[in-house]
Amino acid sequence: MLSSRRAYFLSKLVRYSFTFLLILSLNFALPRMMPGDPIVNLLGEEALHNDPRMIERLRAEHGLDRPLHIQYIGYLRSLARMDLGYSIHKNLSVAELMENSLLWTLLLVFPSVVIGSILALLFGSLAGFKNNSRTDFLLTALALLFYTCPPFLLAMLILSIFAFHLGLFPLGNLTSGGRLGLDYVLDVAWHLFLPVAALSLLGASYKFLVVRNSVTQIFDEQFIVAARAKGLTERCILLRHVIRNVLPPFISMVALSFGFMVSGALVVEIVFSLNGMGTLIYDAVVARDYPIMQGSFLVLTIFVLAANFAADMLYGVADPRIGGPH
Amino acid sequence: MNREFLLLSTALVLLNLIGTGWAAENGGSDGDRIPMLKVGTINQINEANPWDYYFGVYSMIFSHQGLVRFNNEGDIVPELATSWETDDLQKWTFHLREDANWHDGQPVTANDIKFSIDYNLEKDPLSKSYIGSIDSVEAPDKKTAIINLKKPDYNFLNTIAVVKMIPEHIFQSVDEPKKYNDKNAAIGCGPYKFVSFDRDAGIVTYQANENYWGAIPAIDAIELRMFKNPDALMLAFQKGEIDLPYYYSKGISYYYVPKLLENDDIGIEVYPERGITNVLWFNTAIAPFDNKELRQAFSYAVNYEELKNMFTAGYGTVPSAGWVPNGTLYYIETRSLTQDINKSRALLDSLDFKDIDGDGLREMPDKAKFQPKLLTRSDLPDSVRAAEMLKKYFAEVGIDMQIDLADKSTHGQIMDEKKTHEVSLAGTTFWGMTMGEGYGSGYTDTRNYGWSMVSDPKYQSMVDDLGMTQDKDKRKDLAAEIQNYYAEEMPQFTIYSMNIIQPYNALYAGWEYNPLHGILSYGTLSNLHKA
Amino acid sequence: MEMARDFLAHSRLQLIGLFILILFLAVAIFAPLIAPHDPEESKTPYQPPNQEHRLGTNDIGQDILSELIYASRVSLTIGFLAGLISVLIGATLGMLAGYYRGIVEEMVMATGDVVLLIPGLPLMIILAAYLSPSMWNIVLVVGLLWWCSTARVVHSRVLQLREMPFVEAARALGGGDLYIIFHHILINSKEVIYAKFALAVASAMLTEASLSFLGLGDPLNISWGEMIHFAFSRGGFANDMWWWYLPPGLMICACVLGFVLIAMDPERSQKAQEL
Repeated sequence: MLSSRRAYFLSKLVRYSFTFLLILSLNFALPRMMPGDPIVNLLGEEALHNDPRMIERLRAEHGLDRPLHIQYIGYLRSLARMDLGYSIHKNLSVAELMENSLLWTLLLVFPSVVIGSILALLFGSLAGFKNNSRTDFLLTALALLFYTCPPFLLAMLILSIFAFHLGLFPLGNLTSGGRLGLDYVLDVAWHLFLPVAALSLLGASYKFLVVRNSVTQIFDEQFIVAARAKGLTERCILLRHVIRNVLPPFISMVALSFGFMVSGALVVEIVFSLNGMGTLIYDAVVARDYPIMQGSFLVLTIFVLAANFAADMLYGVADPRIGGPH
Repeated sequence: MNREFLLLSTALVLLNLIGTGWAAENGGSDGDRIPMLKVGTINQINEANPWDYYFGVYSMIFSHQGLVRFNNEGDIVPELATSWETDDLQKWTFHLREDANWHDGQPVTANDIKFSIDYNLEKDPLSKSYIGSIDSVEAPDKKTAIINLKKPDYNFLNTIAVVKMIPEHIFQSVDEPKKYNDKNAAIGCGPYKFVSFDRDAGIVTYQANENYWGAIPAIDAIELRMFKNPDALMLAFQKGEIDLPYYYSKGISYYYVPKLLENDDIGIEVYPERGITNVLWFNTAIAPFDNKELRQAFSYAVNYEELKNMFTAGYGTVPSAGWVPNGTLYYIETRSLTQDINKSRALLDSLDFKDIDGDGLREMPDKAKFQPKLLTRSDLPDSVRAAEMLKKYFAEVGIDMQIDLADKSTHGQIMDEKKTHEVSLAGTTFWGMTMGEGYGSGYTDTRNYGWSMVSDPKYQSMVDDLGMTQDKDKRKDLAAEIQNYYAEEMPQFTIYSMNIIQPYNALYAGWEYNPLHGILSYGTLSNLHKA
Repeated sequence: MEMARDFLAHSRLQLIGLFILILFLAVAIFAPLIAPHDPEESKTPYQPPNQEHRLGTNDIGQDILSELIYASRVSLTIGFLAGLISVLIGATLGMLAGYYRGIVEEMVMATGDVVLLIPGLPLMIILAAYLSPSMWNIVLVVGLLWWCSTARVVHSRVLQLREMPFVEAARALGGGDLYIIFHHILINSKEVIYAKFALAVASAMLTEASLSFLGLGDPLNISWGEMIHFAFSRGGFANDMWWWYLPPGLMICACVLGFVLIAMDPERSQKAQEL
């Protein structure tokens, strides 16, 4: 029993290590593959405005004249030192720049994933349970609307209605500034309410559709019929069988959705003027600040990867089929 | 020569004395004082470091000063220097004011001036593009600074006006200023002191400097709030969350005006633009754009009236061929630019640009396809739209213009360094027009930024003469000559220019406009009061 | 004929989806006949809806309704091409992996896993920043990133099929690999591929809209996303000109809905899991 579970974890570990390496390589290859001067692709357009001596120094530092595999080893080495490069444009190391932004993006993404998942699970089960009822139709239509709506449009409409026309929430930014303690926490929560709501709806819409279908499907399956025959009440059926059978695939879906949620967070941050990874990447794109672009991309991807890894581990624990006797 | 300059500086000292009296006159009762002015902007400050581009800009507005300053008319007036003289336009002697102190209480000395310039030249490679003409700086005593130039430059005061002075005692031990994000890095000697930068809230706070050499400003504290997009900024302004939407060297877009007019608490003022909103530049160094008749043919194809209506609503002006905007010293009337399709076609025909293959589009004299590329910034929707309109106008006379989109930095790199553009769209600023020897020569002359790559000896000698001539009548003649040159040769021409629309909180009065710093002028900072 | 029968066999939702898409396709194809004005022609800008211009005019005086109609061509082209590229790559790799197994399978599936995990928008933003803003670059970028879920589904379908008696029979009869792949496996995976294609198009359209909104689109080929971009950046939003930014938004919604509905199959709900 133990061995099969260990085998599962081990195979996942190998898979993820491989993926991790591929992503690092992709990040290495991108600036070197793209058209244009690699030194500019690596350091940003600003590099050219600088001292020619500095450019030469940087060129040597990045070893762009050396063979690729040597460059690659150097690249991995600096990553091991948590060195993600230096933004000439912003006069800061990329790691320093990302410290704050990453924190805020996580603060936006995590609650949204949790809230969105809970919403999806609740309403999805409800809709699946009451398959083909009016409730089901309404919820599904709503979910489809959110799913098909471009994320930025949804965010802009929410901002316009709740922040501007109704004046219930601030028009942007993370805090009002100059607050401390509980006051600060409440202020941040107030500022993050609309962005989290927008992102939660985006995430929930798609998960809802999946949960609804799974529940509907499970209802038709044999064991529910059997359970009914045993005289269990409907609520009991829902709790014991359905949720338990929907949960494991749901966890892996939530994990896979992290990438999608991060993408959504970028757009939401830009609409709500939040200083997260999204605005960081956006500003970097406008200024052609390639080190920030690559660093942010790498960190976001690693974050998504870690979330998936965690979910897979959780899955291994949660799914009764894994680790059971063969 | 010398006497004229001494006279000028005496006049300026007098002017300055009047100037320093401002707060005493206008302070009024304390009930009128404004405890906090909230300024909203989309300019993004990344670090409270004077070498951060936008923090530098706002430092110059609030906390830092230069030797001289532009007044509301765009003329040079004393600031840290109370007077100056030069005999040969090459050696400039500045006499510093006695009562200027840094925010930490240390006096501002000539050593600080010398240090600031040397330090900039040493640490910031970009500074060479505007103060590279400085050969050396001397500080013979505490209150005298002498700047020696590599060659005579009449226009030097305009250049030195934007060089902000920094305290030597803070920076002498700082090796990498761009990484020095200490609070001390923001110490200046201006009317406001930097207090804090809250990155998460996007707020920079300034506080009135009670030890300012002028007088305590009329606003106790200033909060600068950063927004990521102009719409959010304008919505916040309409809600009363901010008192003033501010863009450095720009006004707001005219399409925000109707909504603002509905709001009684909002006032709107329109100021003349001293830069040019959108200019079509030719790279005159490459064929076939080295031909002035071809450039003229382009200029006759454009419907200026329609562009003016479309991009400026009622806030624009019809451009003139002399290019230099009205309001510039010694501006002369030149021909107004108008659309003349027939003239444009006739010019193209005479140059042997004819449609050979019958597709309605002209070929070059050597029978090759004529598809000039119009370099346009992709991040400016106004420019993209203007480029679309231009493409239509040029198609009407048979020119198959191709729009070549580039982001801000690529566009800048091509125009400033690579010079691989054929035709390009870009605007100019008030200070930019005074670059080089003024009259836009910084943009035009190959020896400077040279967006239109003019190296015509006739033009360059005019520019050189402007640099060496002090006599007013002669300068007036030269200014006229250079404007006539633009009107005839058309190395670049304005496609539309729009006045600055500046809305503000109407509950406050005393707003004043300055061509360099806009509504955040010293006039506003010292006069603003409750209406 | 066969296709028609296939579709009739499908659910009502799919028929609705199909109806929506045929409508959009018709609008795109017959744009010059339907559009009341030349979308390039400039009149007075910022007109509210009126008799002459049912949806008003935009910032440079173009008729918004006509622009909307013509933009369907760009949006659908981007969506279709990107979807096509992603499905071609995905189906080919999926089939190869499923049919040949071994190292090929390992490589394809591992790469697919990676691409599936990568947060799509950040990577596309970066690629779009390196390449110049053009419609074709967006097609390429979206197409190259959306193939992996197709590859996954096709792969598992092929795994099922390759053990089927008729495939084994074909192999026993000496059918070449290519023959088997094309004549048996491809034909029998087509439903999965159709569904994946529809979803890829939907995703491509949404992604294109987001890229355009961020100013990384192609402003010279006006798509619905690009229309919203200009409405937002040239005062449409600030002035509540909903007739300018809402219609293209609704077009995107409806069009994406059409594609999603087509891909929905109540009989095989596991497909939905891979939306």
